[in-house]
Amino acid sequence: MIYLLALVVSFCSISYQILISKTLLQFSTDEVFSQSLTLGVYLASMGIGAFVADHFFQKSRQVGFVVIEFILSILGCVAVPLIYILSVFFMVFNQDQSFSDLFSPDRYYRIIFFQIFTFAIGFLTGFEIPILNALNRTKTGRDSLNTFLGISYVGTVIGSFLIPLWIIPRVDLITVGVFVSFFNLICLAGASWLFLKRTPQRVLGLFLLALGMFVNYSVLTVAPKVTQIYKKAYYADVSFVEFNLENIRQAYRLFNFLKPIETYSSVYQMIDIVPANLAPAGAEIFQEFAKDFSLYLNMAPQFSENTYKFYHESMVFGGINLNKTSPQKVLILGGGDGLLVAELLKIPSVEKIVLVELDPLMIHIAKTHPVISRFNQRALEDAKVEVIVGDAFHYIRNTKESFDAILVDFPFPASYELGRLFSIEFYSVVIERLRDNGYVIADIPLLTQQEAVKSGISPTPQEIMVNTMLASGFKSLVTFGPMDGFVFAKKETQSLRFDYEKLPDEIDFRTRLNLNAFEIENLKLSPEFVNSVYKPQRFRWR
Amino acid sequence: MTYELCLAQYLSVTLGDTFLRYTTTVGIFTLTLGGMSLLYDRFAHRIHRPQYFIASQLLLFVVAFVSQYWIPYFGPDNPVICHLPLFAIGFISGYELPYLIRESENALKNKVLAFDYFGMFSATLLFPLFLFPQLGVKNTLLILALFNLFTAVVFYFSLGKKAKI
Repeated sequence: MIYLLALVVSFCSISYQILISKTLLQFSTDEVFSQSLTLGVYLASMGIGAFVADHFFQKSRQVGFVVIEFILSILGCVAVPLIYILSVFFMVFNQDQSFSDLFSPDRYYRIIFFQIFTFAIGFLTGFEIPILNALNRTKTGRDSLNTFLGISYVGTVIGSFLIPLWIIPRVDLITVGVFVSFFNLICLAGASWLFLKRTPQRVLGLFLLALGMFVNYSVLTVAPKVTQIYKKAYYADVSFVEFNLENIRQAYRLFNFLKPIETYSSVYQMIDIVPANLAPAGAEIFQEFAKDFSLYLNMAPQFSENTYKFYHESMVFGGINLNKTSPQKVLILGGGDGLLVAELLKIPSVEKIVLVELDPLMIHIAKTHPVISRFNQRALEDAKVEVIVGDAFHYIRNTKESFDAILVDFPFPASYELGRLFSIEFYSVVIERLRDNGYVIADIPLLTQQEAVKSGISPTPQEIMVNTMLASGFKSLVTFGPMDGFVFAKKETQSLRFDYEKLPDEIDFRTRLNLNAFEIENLKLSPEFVNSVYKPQRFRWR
Repeated sequence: MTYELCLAQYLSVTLGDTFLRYTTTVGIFTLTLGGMSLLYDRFAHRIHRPQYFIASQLLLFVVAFVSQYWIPYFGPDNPVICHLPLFAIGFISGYELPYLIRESENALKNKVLAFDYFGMFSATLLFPLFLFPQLGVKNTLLILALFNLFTAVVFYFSLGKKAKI
């Protein structure tokens, strides 16, 4: 029984850690930093907890354990909503607006600030195993810390599989917190029943249980509302100059008034869709809340109604223009929104398109969402298109087919996981799948010379990509796109220049502006900058 | 002394093999670790020996060293064989901490546990932010393997001292 307690408490704690880590991920494009910091703080505070555990609760470990379970359950279920609400305050009453800017440099401070929750949860968790072991020792006379340790490892495994793979794709993050918190309450009940023998102690246990249940229930009822307010504050860019009660009321009324943000989550990512005008029907006069219809992945912008056209045109027409010939068989990696396919289908020479997308939810949204399926003109259902749901790296390693053009439309490499798709190992396989005179074009973050100097980022993302692709065997390449960056590469030696005369007349004027090559001569060439799965580069662009 | 051992080992094991799929890696590793801890007390009378501890360090050194050639050699076609080093590292590491906990006095036990957490903490911060991008997987593995070798040597000599007294 006591072992079961150990199993559940370690499950709960790792789950909270994963939950906070997922929540904080939304603040930053640097997943590597945010995830390792959260895990690090959690482990360290657990260490501190275990280190000082002997000095606390010497009078009554039983009551101590029950109280710890209570605090953990409360902390666990209020952590995410509190992070959300505090962020809303920062966003709405912060004049410099830096919080709503995902790329602002001080995002690091915010991520560090919210580690107080991780610390508190980790610290209390550190007590649990030593206390349980001590209680068990007084009962049985044996020390079985090793057994407890083993059990807590098992609990950790269950948590780290169950939460991200099964729970998070199904409900919003606040509800996940309540779900886990409920297990803590079960432990509280179990511990009260097992350890507390005197009546006043039992009354205390019952009281804490009831209080915990009440808090759980209240958080659960406000969960959808808090999530919506947080997302609206993030996407609608509302700000008040003065921080006072009246303005808080105003802001609250405003958020209730705006149209809801559509949110979806899958195992891989969180997908938010912001409607074209946030003001509700009949109140369109509120022009300041008119926003582009846009789609965000993990709260980073993916495309918007206003800009998707020139992004995809740049990739399709820019690639063909540089290559001088039109492709017949095309492979698209990523791009599950179907917008790139729609653009490609306009090219008469294209006979076959294979699209490989990781996230089935994205494909589903692209096919069924009323607005997005209008944007992509149901291109994914076209007879020329074959949609494959799976890992692009896996597909390209195993396919026997070859292509005239490979279009790589991945999210920017914010994590090592995504960075694998920008590596020498990846492009060494891509080059083998290219037919003669074929080309590959990929979207990458590009920094101008000034931006690179100002931010002090070295190597720049384009330096990493150019070095990586040269090392993969590409002979000629060019980077272009002051507004949306791309790299274009071929295995043949060829001078790559845009032929503006040949561009079709009907393309967006912004596409023309974007088809502008970057000076490649200034790039530092060094094998040091090659991005490899085994020796990765950390891409930074803001 | 014990603390240092813990730190050194946990650096090594947590960092072991990340280029395998993340979840399977963590899953297998933690499960084998847990499994070993659970079994330890049952078989303690047979396996609780300092020689075995030194042997475990040397074994880890060898496994860590071999695994970097092992995994690419068997390639993606043999996923089961590829994961064998991982099982090995999990089982051997699962031996270390229970040994150290059993070895230490009652009052110190929780502290060993605490230092185990600290070790993992430094690993989680050092690995993604420094070791992985600066040194790459191969060099990191090599360094950690050397750490284990070092632990074995230090432990051997400290045992020698005890024996004299």
